[in-house]
Amino acid sequence: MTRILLALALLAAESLQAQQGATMTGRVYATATDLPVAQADVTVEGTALRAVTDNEGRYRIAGIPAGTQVILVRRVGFAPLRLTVSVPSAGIVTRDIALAATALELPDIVVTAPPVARAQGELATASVIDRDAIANQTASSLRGVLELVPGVPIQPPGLGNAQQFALRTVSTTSPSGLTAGGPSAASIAAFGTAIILDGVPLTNNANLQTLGPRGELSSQLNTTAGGGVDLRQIPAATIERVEVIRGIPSARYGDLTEGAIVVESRAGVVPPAARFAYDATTIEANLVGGRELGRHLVSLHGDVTHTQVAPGANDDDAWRVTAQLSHRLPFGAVAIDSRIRFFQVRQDNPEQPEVVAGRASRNSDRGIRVMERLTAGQVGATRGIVTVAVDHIRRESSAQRRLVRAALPFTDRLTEGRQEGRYVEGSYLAAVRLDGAEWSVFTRAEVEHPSRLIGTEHELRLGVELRREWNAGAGYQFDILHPPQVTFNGVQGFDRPRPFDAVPPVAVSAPYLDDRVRGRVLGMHVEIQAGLRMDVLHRGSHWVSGVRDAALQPRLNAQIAPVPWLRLRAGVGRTAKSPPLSQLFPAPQYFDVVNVNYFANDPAERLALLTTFVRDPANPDLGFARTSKAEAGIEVTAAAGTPSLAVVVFQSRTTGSATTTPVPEFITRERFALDTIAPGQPPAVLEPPIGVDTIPILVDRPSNAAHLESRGIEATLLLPQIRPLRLTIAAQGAWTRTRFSQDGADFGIGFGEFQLNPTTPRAPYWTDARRDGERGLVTWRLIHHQPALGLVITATVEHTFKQETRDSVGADTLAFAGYVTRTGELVPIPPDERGDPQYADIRRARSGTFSPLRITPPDWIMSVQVSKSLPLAGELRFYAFNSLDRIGRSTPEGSRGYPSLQFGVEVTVPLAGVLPVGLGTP
Amino acid sequence: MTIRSLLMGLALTSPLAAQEAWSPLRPLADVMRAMPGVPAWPQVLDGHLTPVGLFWTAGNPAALAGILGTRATLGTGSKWEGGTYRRPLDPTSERVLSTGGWGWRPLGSGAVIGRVEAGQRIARGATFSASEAPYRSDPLVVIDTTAPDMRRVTALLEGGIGWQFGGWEAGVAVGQAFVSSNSTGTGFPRLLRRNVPSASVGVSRRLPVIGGRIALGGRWQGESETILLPGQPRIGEAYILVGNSEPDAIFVAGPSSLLFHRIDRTGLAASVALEGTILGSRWTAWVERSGRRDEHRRQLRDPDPDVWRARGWASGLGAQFALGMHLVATVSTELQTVDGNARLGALPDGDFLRSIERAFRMGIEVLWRPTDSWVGAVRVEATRDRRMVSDFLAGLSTDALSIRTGTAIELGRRLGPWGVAFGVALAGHAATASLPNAARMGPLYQTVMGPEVELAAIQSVPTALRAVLTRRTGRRSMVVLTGSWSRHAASGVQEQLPLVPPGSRTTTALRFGIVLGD
Repeated sequence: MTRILLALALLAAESLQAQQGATMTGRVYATATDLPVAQADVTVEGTALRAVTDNEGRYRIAGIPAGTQVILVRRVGFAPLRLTVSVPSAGIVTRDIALAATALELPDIVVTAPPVARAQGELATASVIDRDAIANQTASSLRGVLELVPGVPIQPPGLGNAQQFALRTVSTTSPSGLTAGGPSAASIAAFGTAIILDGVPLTNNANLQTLGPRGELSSQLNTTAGGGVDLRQIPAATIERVEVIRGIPSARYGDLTEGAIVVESRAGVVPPAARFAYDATTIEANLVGGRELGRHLVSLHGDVTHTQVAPGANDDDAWRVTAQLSHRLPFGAVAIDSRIRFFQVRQDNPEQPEVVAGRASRNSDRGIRVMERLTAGQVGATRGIVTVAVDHIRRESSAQRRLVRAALPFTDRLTEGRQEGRYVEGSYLAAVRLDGAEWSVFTRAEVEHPSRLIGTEHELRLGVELRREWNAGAGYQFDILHPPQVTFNGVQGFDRPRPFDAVPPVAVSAPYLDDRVRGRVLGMHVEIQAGLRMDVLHRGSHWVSGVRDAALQPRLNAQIAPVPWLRLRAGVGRTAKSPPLSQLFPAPQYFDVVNVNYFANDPAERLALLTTFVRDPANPDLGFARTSKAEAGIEVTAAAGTPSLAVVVFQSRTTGSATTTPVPEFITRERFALDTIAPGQPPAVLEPPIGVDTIPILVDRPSNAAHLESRGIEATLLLPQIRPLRLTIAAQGAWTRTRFSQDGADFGIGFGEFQLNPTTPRAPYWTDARRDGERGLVTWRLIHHQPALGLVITATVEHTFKQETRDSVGADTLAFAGYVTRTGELVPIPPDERGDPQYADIRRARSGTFSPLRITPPDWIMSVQVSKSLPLAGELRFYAFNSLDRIGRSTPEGSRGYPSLQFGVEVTVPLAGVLPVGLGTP
Repeated sequence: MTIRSLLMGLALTSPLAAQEAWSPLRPLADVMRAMPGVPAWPQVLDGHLTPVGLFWTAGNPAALAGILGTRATLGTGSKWEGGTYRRPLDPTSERVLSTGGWGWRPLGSGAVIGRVEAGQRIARGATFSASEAPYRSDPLVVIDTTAPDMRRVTALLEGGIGWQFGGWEAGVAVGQAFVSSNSTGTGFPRLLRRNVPSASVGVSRRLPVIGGRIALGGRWQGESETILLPGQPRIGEAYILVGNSEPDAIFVAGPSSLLFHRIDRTGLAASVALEGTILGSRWTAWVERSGRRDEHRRQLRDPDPDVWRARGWASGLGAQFALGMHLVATVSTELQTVDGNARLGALPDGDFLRSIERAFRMGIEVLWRPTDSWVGAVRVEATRDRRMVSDFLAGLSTDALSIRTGTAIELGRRLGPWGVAFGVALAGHAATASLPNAARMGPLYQTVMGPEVELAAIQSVPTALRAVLTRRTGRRSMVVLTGSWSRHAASGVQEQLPLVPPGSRTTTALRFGIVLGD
């Protein structure tokens, strides 16, 4: 495919002819009065082509490329409009456009992500979700909005759990990694899905809210460390537009493996409105508004949401508070944009003494972002943009649980050496606390230069991106007298408190170059977007320090429109994602061995002597995860009133994702004899030691060892409205298969026993573990629209026609790859020798970690939304998730359960004329 | 029963109880057993006559195409109810807050109608019912041994559209009701979900005689109810009532023994209706044949569910007469019969319970408007309910016949933009019954089943008062404030019915509404 695209690009470069394009003209008028609408902004999506209507409501845009184009029309006081137009290669297209106060009263309302869409400045496959579709979606946060992307399952609204999102990936068997403490396939994919809010990435790289592989209480922590950004922090009601770049993004987007989700929040001149939503679990209130104050554009939005996770069953709940102040000040050709954003998402799982005494957890993320953007106007046709943003997030996570331990010796020594320990025994309340203070500085300087060259149109973009991230929090803390994890001999678990400010910052710089070329070849409209990006992970903490790793990422997208209603597209490219701070600078690992364990009834007579070994698992070679991506697609869109179809096949292969690999080593244990015991005193230790033995250990070392491969097909179909029934049918679906694998050895669940038993000389290890997930999902949307009533009824039917997970691994007694000795040496054994009698002691079934094929039976679920316009552009909406309360299916191969019925109402109240100066419509 | 007159008052109760004749959500082959009460209030200040016709009386959606005008009503209200005179599966007290609206208007060659209601009910303890609506024809009812406070959130959506094609009319109406309910402050939680999707279709044709129309209709109703009783943090006991016998306790202890009870109900009905003008007045007659099947499951894959099957007939008549210049009379009657059989999955050889229910209701409403400012109305209602249950498992039969007559009088006056109305209503409830000797029955009968049966069989006197204040705010708009109070108690002690609860039950309601339309 690369060769084909390359040849195509060369052909285009040689023979592109002058492009004339078509002209679009018409009149914009109000549906209620038929009067012209002046000062309406008419743009061609994905291009810089734009016009403003005159006093008669007329507009005219010249040079529109042939093919299907999306026209956006906006005007204060009217609902924004998005319509698809088939544009010929030349000539004039006349299109009158009707605007209404609320989108519900428009003749054509778009409440899906249409098949034909382009993200701004992007040629790759994208889903564009506009305000109308967002408003029609039952969503508490960005996660709910993304259900309009093909292949994404629908979920009930609310803030119940951390919401991460992964593009073009399905879950594999287990939510845990292939090795203890390693990230799962879902976490890796979510970590590699970039979330870009108002032009600045939201990052999770410096999130250290994890106890790592040893944390006994880690399962209680509901954090997103090592995974994707928690999307609960972005309320759906404050989003203006979402562009989901599913294909190969242009070179300006980096630090990603799966794709990019570009979110534009509501800012500028926004008619003020308040919205309230209520259902049995969630209450949400938000306010949006903005106006012009002289030359200043000021807007504000805020949101307060509360979810009771399982009312009646427990007291778990979640809160969200967000606020954003936006300001824009234009000086002729220069404009300064400022945004200050605050969010807090808090989740409480309080103790239920009658269920599990002492068990509780809490998580709070509180962040503030300050962003400044300078757009240095049109110097000729060139435009320069400098963006600087600082993000600061305070994260507080805590968990507690009552632990029961037999008398176990342990030590709190922080350096290597031997010292007396103490005993932990009986039942006690163990509690941990993680305090993170993340900082992220993002800077981008970019120059855009449109030009004509050899008869072709170019949009050249050159930029550099600088990122620096660190964490200055108090870190991992606990009461040393009540440790959160202690196991005998300590070889698997007694971490020490760790301040996060000891973790050095990470710096990444990335220059990029991107050119988008439009022209005609052999009468066909051809468009090519080619770019090159180089991400540099620096060895030190600044952008001038040495290079730790560098990833060169060529990217190419091409499109041919042989006829206006048909587009053929293809793309190929590479992307890269830097490892998280937790993997770049892992915590030291402590191994405590017990030299003397004399436990007497009288505490004064007890003696525990332990030796502490410290291993630094840091891997200086840890670098970027790299992804090769390819896709090809076809889009068919004829004139208005005919079906639109888009189909794309894709493949994405990520190699070298950061994960934890167990590396065998050994430590030594000295044994001592004890002197005579005197009453009321501990025994004395007799030197020298009477013996020494070795204890194998596994050092959890970060490495670029995880691989994720996804392939699939996505389709979006939009049928024209069935006029007598006023019914529009839209379907989107995806079949995706994801394979998750990891290099290195797996030591199984019996390694602990091997460690503690000095008479066991060796233990088996296994390799080549793979997990596969496969899912086929079609979502039908039946939209009944009565513009005269301002009524939209949307029934969303999700049909999962295939869902399987499978662990591909040998589980028989001959599946082992070799053995590990007590000195940590790996000895591979050829497959034909594994049946030899000498290996009888290590022939054991691989169990406990993997599960065989699991087939989840096909089933369907339906949700319903009913939206009705109210006087003065207000809206009333009712929604019911899983409106038929389907509970799933059970078959001998597996079972499927659906979230239960959830229903509620939303009311949007316009506030124009109600709010004081600062929020009224101009 | 006239339908539209129920409108304002019904909006104060649960949305699920507020079904009008055209509503596809109205019960199907099911007789809901309500506490005896006073007749529905006439709407003297409403400005519109209680409508009759194929749509309003027979509920055929095809006739929607012929309704006239535009109207919308928005309102919010609250209701407080409490007192010891109640059935065992009713809450001790409850507070209901509801809001919603409805309206109709012409659209193209037809018309549309829509209605939405949402509400929340906080019920204070002492109801053992885990089922959402325990007093219906289906005798299989889940109860547990706790009586927690309950929070119930409800919503209802329904709407219809009708078209005219020459002399033909066609229409469709769809609706869905939702309930989500959970206990609060209890160690043995109770969670419940219920949803009722439904649809009705109709077609009608003008007749060449008596200015009449004939209409055929069909209705489908699905319903699912899911009851979850997690046995943590405290253990509890649950029972599934099966008639009059004493069921075994189901012990629920720990999350792994969570009690799951799923009820899937399906009903179908077909109807025919006739409308015409005879002797200068408008008449509507209708008849509906219906059937339903309710399946109760205790697990996701339950090959032998408990089943309730019922078949029913319903028929009705509505008519409106002008009696001189100042009087209009509206008459409505309805007769409903439901015959049902219950079968337990564990006893596949035969039905264990059979019931026959007969309900007859008749109402006459006379609207009197002597001047432009004064208006008065009298509504007289009579109902006769009979319920015969043969319980083969317990070896018992019950037969209860109750008769209720009631009168509601309302008098109103318009003074410029203002309007004020006062009403008083009184009813008498009498019954004869053949019931089991409570002393010989088990403890569950005496606690849960017997009081309901005996309460229905005792004489009582419900009374009610109402005041309405309206103000016109424009040529086509009006605000309405309504307050009402009602009380219900047994009219005397009857020693033969020892399980009847003492005391009285009082309901107070307040509602504010906006009426828009011509």
